[in-house]
Amino acid sequence: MSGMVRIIAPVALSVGFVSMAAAQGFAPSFGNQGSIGIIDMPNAEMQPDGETSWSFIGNGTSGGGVLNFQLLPNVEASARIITLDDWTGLGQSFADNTLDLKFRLVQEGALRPAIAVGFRDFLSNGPTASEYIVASKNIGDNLRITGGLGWGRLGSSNPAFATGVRPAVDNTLGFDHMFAGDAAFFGGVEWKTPIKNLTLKAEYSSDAYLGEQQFGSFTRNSPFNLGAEYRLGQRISLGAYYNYGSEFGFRVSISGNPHSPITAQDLGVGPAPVNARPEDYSRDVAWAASPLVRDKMVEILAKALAEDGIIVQEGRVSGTLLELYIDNTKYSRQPMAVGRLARILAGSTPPSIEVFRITLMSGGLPTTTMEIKRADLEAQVDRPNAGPDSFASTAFSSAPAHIPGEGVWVREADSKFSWGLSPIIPVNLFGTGGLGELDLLIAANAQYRVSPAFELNLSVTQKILGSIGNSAVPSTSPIPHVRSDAALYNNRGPVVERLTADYQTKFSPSLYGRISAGYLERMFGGVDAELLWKPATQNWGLGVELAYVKQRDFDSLLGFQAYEALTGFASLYWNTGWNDLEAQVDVGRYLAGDWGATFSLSRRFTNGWELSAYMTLTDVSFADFGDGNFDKGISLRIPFDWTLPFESRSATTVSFAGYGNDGGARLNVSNRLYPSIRGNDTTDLYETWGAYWQ
Amino acid sequence: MKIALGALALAMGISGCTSSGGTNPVVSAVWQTVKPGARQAALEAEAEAAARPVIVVTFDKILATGLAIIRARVGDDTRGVLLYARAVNDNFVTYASQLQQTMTLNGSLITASRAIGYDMLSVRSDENDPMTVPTPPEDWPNRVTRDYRFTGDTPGGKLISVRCRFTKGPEFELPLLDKTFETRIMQTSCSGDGVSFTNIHFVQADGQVLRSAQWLGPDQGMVEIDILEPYTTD
Repeated sequence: MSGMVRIIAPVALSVGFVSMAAAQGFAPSFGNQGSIGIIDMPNAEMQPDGETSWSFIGNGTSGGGVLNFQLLPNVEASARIITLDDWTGLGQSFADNTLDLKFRLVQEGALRPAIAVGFRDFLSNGPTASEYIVASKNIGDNLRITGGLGWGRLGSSNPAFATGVRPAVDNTLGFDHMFAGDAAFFGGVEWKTPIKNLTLKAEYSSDAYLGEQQFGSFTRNSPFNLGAEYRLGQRISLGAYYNYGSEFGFRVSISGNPHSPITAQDLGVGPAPVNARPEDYSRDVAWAASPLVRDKMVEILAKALAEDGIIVQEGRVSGTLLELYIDNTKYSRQPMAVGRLARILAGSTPPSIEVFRITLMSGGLPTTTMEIKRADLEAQVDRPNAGPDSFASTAFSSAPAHIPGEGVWVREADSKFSWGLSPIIPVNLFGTGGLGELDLLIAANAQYRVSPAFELNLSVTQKILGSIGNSAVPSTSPIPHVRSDAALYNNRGPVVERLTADYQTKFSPSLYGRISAGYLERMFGGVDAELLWKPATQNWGLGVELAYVKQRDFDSLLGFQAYEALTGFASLYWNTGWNDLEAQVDVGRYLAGDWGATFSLSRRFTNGWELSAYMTLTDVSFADFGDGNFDKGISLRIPFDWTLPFESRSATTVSFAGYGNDGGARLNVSNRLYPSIRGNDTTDLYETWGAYWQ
Repeated sequence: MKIALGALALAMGISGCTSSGGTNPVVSAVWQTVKPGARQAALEAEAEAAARPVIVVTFDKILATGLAIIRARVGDDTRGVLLYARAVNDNFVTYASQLQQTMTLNGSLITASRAIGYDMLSVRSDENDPMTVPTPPEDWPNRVTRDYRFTGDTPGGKLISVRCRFTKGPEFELPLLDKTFETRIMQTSCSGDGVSFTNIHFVQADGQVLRSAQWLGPDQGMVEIDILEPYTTD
């Protein structure tokens, strides 16, 4: 090692974040509830934005799983799937699926504490429903104290005063119960010990655990709880607790953050360097007179670009303009594919070509056209501010169905028939107290492409292992059994998941259409048609979908049962452009004939992480709906390239959705229009445009 | 249990197979890591690489190429990788390795990096920044400002603006390839927008930076470069 390296090494070690050194207090930790807090009591702390965790929790009175998500920098959300022991009688448990929210109102300052307001079992007057206001203050780097005031369950022990009368627990939606009834104080302390990664906790609980003591043998001997948390690296933490003076509890949490990928994200092959054309470059376009030359140029480009995961579907070149319709099969962010393509074009096409018109395709449909002037590219590349400048100088528009006019080169499919085999691991976290059920399936998919717009699709699965649905009981639902007979569909297989003819097209640059016919999903077959109006430069769109379906036989092969339904929806899609939030409202008639609406909200990070939540309210009464009162669910999508050191557009999705509910049930159609095109509008491209020069 | 493992092996074995003949890259990557013998093969490959004779780079060989060349070292790498000038746009020269990892320099200041871990998109600095224009050490200004851009949720990415101070250090005989150069150590201390870092440069009397340790961002950290043959318009 040279002396130089020895000199530089200590310098490198001195590099760091000033803000990290100046940070006050210590990292927040989970409580026994699987959300950020002390033990059973909450605090006012927040995790880093986007932090996502799955916790297994258990104590003497309940157990299950909790998905915790830092929804926004000042909003924490927890979806809890809990089994409450001995709730309705000795040995009779109660499955409680709740959404908890906590909002930080005031950030911690030098003297002032952080203040938050929170809701457990938000909007629902269920067994765990409670509201609270809480303040937390870090004292030095190793001690945090918390004090708060709770209502509902958190106001049930030693109440200090009352604010009106709280309605009895009845599992209904509403606001009347919020901050009503007895209110009680709680508090606690957390100490980051000198032992690395170990935090000790103690709290005074304002929860009297009245429901738990009604039927079972559980007794609350003390309002004081004690706990310890130990972190195994950045992503796993363990909690152990002694609660109520009588019971032990535990928690195991696994965490991840979209902003903190497991691997370095920019490894591999960099983009092609770009040299500007000389000032006296040839403007001669005579080379473009020959159709043969033009077609050959596009064909050669298409072949070369395919090596980089960019599939040219259509192309046309003239003396000054190059137009390409492309499928990006490699890069997780579309601007990265466009930027790399533009660089390659700038280095490989005749200098007379002044404009690159690149259209992104998705699911076989052209979506957004970007017009990039070559001179702009040359003036921006490698310079500071190239990102904003390039976005400003690119013209965006909705793409027509095909490159208009004559002389278009169209890619011939390598083969009209394609197939694939892949494993599928469905996860169901409902029905077993959050401990989860897994299946391992092998899926065989085949596709015959009659034309670019018309395909025949077949998907067959064979179950290898698993238990999903085994614990399901025969349905007693008073409304048509459109989903509640799920257990009867859970045979060993093979199962025809899908056998459809699918046609999709664009009627105008902003109007998309799709029609699918056949065995649309595991339980229903029929005809499903959809229209979507979504200009590329607009952050919202409208859609309508109409389907006539019949229920399939339980063996999911080729037969049908008697039940048939007309179902359809009008949908509004809105990409808010604020904190990656997207909203969707679907209003219409569901499979069981019930009328209502589904409200969906998702946060989709630019690197592909997405957390989605939905709730469906229909004219099916809560009593007829059964457990949970109404349909709701959460799903989490994690892109593979967050965990792997190369570009990939693959992802895995875990759903926490209702299982076997008839009310609010929709067709599971895999090729709906909006999900397949939404990543290509200008709002999305703006958010990911930082990758254009990568 | 045997049935379960067999099923899992079957699933892994056929997973990701497609009619195009390829396999799912994710599955392939996992399989290449966990398949029987993978660890032994990796160890053998490492041993083979270590035993490979080192090609001695000399200034004569560098000059013979007729190319502007830098050498970069990242992390624990001690040998470094040679990067050759591939593009020139105004004052910005982009160097690329054989694997097309790239660095862009404005003078001696690294203003962009690609594919070496965490990309740095661009750097803007003041016109009198001595790292962008060769400046004898005694003429270096007291301070300059720089704007670093990294990937983020907008076209401009994440902007980190820093103020940098320059400190003159001792003279130093710098051995580089087969020669030794008289240099002076110059230190750049930058801070702002929640970060602080210190760059070190070995500068010749005419202001030419020969070796430099520079910050490439909060995730990437430091990189060391040797400017073996600077780009000139000759």
